[in-house]
Amino acid sequence: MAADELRSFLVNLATDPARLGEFIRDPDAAMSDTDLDTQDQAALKSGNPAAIYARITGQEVTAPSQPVTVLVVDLVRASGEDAEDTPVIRGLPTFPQQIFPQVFPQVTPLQIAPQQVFPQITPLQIAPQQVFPQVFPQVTPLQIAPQQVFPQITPLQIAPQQVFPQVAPQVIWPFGTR
Amino acid sequence: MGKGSLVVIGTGIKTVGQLTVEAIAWMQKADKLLYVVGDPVAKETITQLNPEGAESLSDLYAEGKPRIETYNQMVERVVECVRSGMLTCLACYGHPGVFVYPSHEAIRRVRSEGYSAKMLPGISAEDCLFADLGIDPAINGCQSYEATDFFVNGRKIDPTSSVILWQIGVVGDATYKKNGYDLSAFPLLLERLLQYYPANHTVYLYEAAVYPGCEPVIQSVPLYALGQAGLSASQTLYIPPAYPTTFDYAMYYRMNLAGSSSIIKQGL
Repeated sequence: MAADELRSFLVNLATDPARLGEFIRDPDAAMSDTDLDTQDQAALKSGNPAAIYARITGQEVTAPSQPVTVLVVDLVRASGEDAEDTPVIRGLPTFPQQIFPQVFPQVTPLQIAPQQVFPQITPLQIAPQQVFPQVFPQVTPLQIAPQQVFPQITPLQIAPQQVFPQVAPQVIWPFGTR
Repeated sequence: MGKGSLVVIGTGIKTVGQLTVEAIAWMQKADKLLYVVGDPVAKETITQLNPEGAESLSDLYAEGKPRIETYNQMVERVVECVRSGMLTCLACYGHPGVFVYPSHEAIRRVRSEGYSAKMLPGISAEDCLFADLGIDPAINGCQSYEATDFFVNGRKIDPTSSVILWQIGVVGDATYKKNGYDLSAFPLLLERLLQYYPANHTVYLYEAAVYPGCEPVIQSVPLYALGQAGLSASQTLYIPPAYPTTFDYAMYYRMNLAGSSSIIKQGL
C-alpha cells in the first residue's frame, strides 16, 4: 500500500541521519532507490503539507473549508428600572480550523496557574546549575549594541534602532524616533 | 522486571529531522513507550522503534471532553506503568516540557513515590519560531503566554518587547475538539491586545513546518484583522515590539558601563 511505503520512507529519514542527508541533498536520487510511486514522490517534492498528509494517511486531498461566520450575541440591559434587555452582536467572525495532522493541545490555562505557584526548582537544584558547568553567555546587553553597529555609533544611540525593522515606520513616527 | 523509572522525551515539531539521538535510544530501550503525537510519521516512527511497548495515549482525548480530565488520565497511566516496574518512556510532540502539563505532573508524581524520573529537551514550536522568523529574544526580550491564560489571569504585556501567544486557535476553549475549537471568546482577546498596541500593528500567525520539504506558514496581518485571518489550533501568534525601549541612562552609569563602552568606541 502506497501510504505504508511513504510512512516507512519517512520513518527511515527520521531515524537515519545518513538517509536524511541524502534526501536533503538530492531528493530525487534518494527516492529513486525506494518503492515510492510517482504520486508519493510528487507529494514529497510539492512542499504541500496537506498533500503529504493525504498521501500518508491514504486520503484524498481536500480543498480547505471556507470560513464560517459565527455571531455571538450578548444581552445588554441599559440603566433604569424600565430598561429591557437589548441583543448586541459581539465581535468578529471566527473560523473552523484546518487540522492536519491532528493537534492535541497538551496544556490548558487552568493548569498553568498552579504550576507557577508550586516551586518548580528546589534551591538545591539551583546552586549547582548556576555554578557548574561553566556557561558562557552568547549575548550580553553590552555586546548587542556595539556589535551590531560598530564603529559608527555609540551604544547610547542604539536603543531605538534595535526595534527596527520589526516596527512599521508609521508606528514609530509619532514618537519622533525617525 | 526492575524498579520502574520514567524518561520523558520530545519528538519535535517535525519528526523527520528533529528527533534527537538520545530520544531514539530511550524509545527503543523502554519497556513501555507511551506517546501523544498527532503526526502520522511520528506515530509510525514510534511504533517501529518499539513495536512491543508502544501505546498511544491520544485515544484518551474525546470530543467535548475537558482536556484536564484527559491529562489526568494520561498521568495515571504513566504512573501505573512505572509502579509496575517498567522502564517507561513518555513521548510527546514538540518539547516535552513546554506547554505539556501531563509530562511535568507525571514526573512530579513518580518522584514523589520514590522512583527516578527525568526529562530530555526537545524542539518546541517556539524554537522553530525563533529560527523561522529570525528573532533573537536577547535583542528586545520576549514574553511568552498561553493565549487564554494571558487574558484570564491578567498578564501584563510590555509592548517594547516581543510577545508570543501560544494556542491562539484554542483560546477560551478548555475542551478537546477534533474539527475546530469554539473561538467565540476571541474578540475578548483582541480587545485586550488593542489596549497595548495600535490597531494597525502588524502581527504574525506562525505555523511550523511538519513535513520534510515544506516551509513554515507565516501570515502577517494587522492586529485589527486578526479575527479574519483564519485561525487554527496549531498556530502561534508573534507580536513584534511596537515601541522603542526607554534607555535608562542613570542605570547605565551606575553599572559602570560608561567606561567599557568608551573602550569599545576606541576599537580595543
